[in-house]
This record gives sequence, C-alpha cells and structure tokens, in this order.
Amino acid sequence: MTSDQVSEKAIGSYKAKFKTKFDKRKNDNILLSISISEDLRKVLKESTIDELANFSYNDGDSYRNSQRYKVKRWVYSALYDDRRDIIFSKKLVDDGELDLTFNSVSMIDPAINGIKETVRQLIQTVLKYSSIDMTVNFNVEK
Amino acid sequence: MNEVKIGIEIECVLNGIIHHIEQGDYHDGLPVDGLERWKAEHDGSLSTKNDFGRWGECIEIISPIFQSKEEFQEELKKFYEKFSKNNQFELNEVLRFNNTCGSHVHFSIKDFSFDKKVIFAIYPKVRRYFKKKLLNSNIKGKYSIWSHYGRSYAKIIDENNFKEQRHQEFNFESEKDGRGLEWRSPNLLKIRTWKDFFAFWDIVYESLEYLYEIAQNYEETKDIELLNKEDFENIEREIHAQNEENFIPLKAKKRKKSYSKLNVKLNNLEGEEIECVI
Repeated sequence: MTSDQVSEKAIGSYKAKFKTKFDKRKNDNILLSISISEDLRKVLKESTIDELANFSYNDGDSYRNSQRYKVKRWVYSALYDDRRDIIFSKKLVDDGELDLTFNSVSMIDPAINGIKETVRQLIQTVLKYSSIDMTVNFNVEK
Repeated sequence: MNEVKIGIEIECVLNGIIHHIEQGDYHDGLPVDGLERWKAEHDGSLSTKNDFGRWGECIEIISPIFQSKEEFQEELKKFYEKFSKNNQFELNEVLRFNNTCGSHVHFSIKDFSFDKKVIFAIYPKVRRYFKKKLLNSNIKGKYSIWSHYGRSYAKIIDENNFKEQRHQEFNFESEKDGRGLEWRSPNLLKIRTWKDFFAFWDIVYESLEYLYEIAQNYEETKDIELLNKEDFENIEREIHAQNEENFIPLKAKKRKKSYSKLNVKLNNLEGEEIECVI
C-alpha cells in the first residue's frame, strides 16, 4: 500500500443485518443470524491470516465452541471487546453470514454491541496504523 | 393456551356496609368467606379517595391460579356472585376502582422463561393489542383505563432497562420469584358495571393469549450501520488527538550525551580504555 493510498480516508459501507428468530415448537434455542456487507467482509479478510483458532461464546447458560481465523497481531492487540472473536468467525469471514445460537435473549444485545464496537476499533486501528506499511489493504470508497 | 398459569390481583375500595371481608397482611392474605380459593390482603399503596365515604375499605383480592379459560371465567363468575350478592348489587355499589387501584396479572407457561426467551419487541406488541381491543370495546371509561395504563406503579417499559425494576408495565422480578411474569398495567379505573367488568377481563385474557402465541414464536430483523460518516469523523478526531498527545517537540528529542569510562582486561591487553556513550 502506498502512502498516497493510505492518506485517503476510508468511508466504506459497514453494515450488518441481525435477524433474531425463536420457535419454541422446534427447539428452545434463539437463533441470531448475522450477515455483513461486502466492504466489511473484505476488511475482515485482510485482517486475518489463513490459520484457524478455537473460540467460545456465552450462550446465556453455557459456552458454545466455534472456529475463527487468527488475526494479524497488530490488529488483534488493538481490539479489546470481550466478544471480539465472533466477528472473525470462519463462516462470517468466508461467507459474510453466521448463525449464532443462544439460550437467553440477554446475550443477544451484548453480542450485537460487541460486533459494533469491534468493527469500530478495527477500522480505527487500520486507519491509525495504515501509514506504516502494514499488510491490511484497506478498501477505500468515498 | 396449554400448560399456563394465570393469577389476578384486584385492588379496589370495598363498600363496608354491604361486605365485611377479613384481610391478611401484605403477601399473607386470608381466604375470602364464600370465595374460598380467593384471598384478601392489605395493601398500603391503596387509598379510598373517599369512595363509599367512611365505609370505604381498601382491599386487594387475590385470585387462585387459573389453568384454563373455563376456570378463569368460572372463578370470575363466583367473584361476581359473591360481591353482587347474587345479582342484588351493581358493581359500583360494592366495589370501586380509583386511581390508586391496579389489577395486576401473573402469567406463566410451563418450562418457559419470559426473562430468558422473549425479546423486548414482543411487549410493545402486547400493549398495542390490549389498547386496540380496549378502545374498540363498549366499556364505559375505557379512555380512563388507558390513560391509567402507564401509571407510576406500572411505568411503560423502556428497551434499555426493561428488566431492572418491579414497578413497571411488565415485572420480570416476579417471574424470578416463581410467581410468573407480572403484567401490572391493567386496571379497572372507573368501571362501574359487572358487564364492563367481564368485558374487561375478556380483553385481558385475549391479550394473554396473544402474548402466549407471539412470545413462543417470533422473528425480528435489524439493519444496523456499524459505522456511519459521523463515526468516521469521531475516529479521525480521536486519532488526531492521540497524535497531538504523542507529538514530541524536536528540542525535547535532543538528548544530552553522557560519558563513562570502563577499564576492562581483554586477553593480555591490560588497562585498555573504552569510552562508552550511554
């Protein structure tokens, strides 16, 4: 990435759709389906490396295991929200979509807020350090 | 509705000339004579507001647990027979409902937790359903009932803190105490006839049926812009502020040289002098 490129300010389209679904007749789980915009998916893709790690999230009663991509160290160290791992989930980075299962609605808003906060920290980090020749190619649209 | 439990509390002013009901302490009611499954207890939050003059008596009447619509209607009929003295008295001759009185409803579904399973969006739907049914009904004083719906003891719930308090429209603490979700907003304000009394409870029951249905099967979609232009501007400001804070003026960067001398012996070279800059 050249310094000219990084000097442009990034205003991409960072959107997500969150669908909460529950049908007691089928099971007792609350499903949170997340789909993210392509711009955001690209940033996530560029922030990760092609290796997987396990992570777990609180579903309200217990912890559920899942897999995420490992994140470039300089990016990951700047993210401090407890739920930062969710956004680097393999399925979300690969497909732009992810289903999370919860046992309590009390975990849904924190998950959404965690994603929101992590995206903010992620973009802030990329903007802040992209003047150094880092390996995240930040997609720029204005 | 299957496997549900419903209980109601009717707060009112009793005409002490017509009825004498012995009351227990708050949360420790005594069975009502002639209506054994119901209990009567004292509630300090009630005031007669001069209803029935010096014969007015504040009372909270607690129903038994109903498990079906038939049982609900049957017990309300017994309530009517008891307090109307078998159709001798109209409602407003024996019971009155002023603005200190509420009619709370407790509701639970077997093996189901409202606290754990139901999102906020469901509760405003129930409120709207109740309002629509009430205002479309022929109940006299329906506007008074609606205006009293969000009174101070039953504040309309807010998405950001809707599980934190007892004295609000839906009380989740009650469910945690094993007494079902408490819907505190229904009230019988200015209901004066038995006909309207029954019409009111029909609406409440229908609202519970609606809650039963939508609480156990729902879908909600939210589109969220995770970062908008304003967020970007804030980020830029933060970065700029941090850069300003970390900026070290050139003068401060100039370091003062210091020297020290070390005497070392290396191989056979004695007294070799090395100058070190630290």
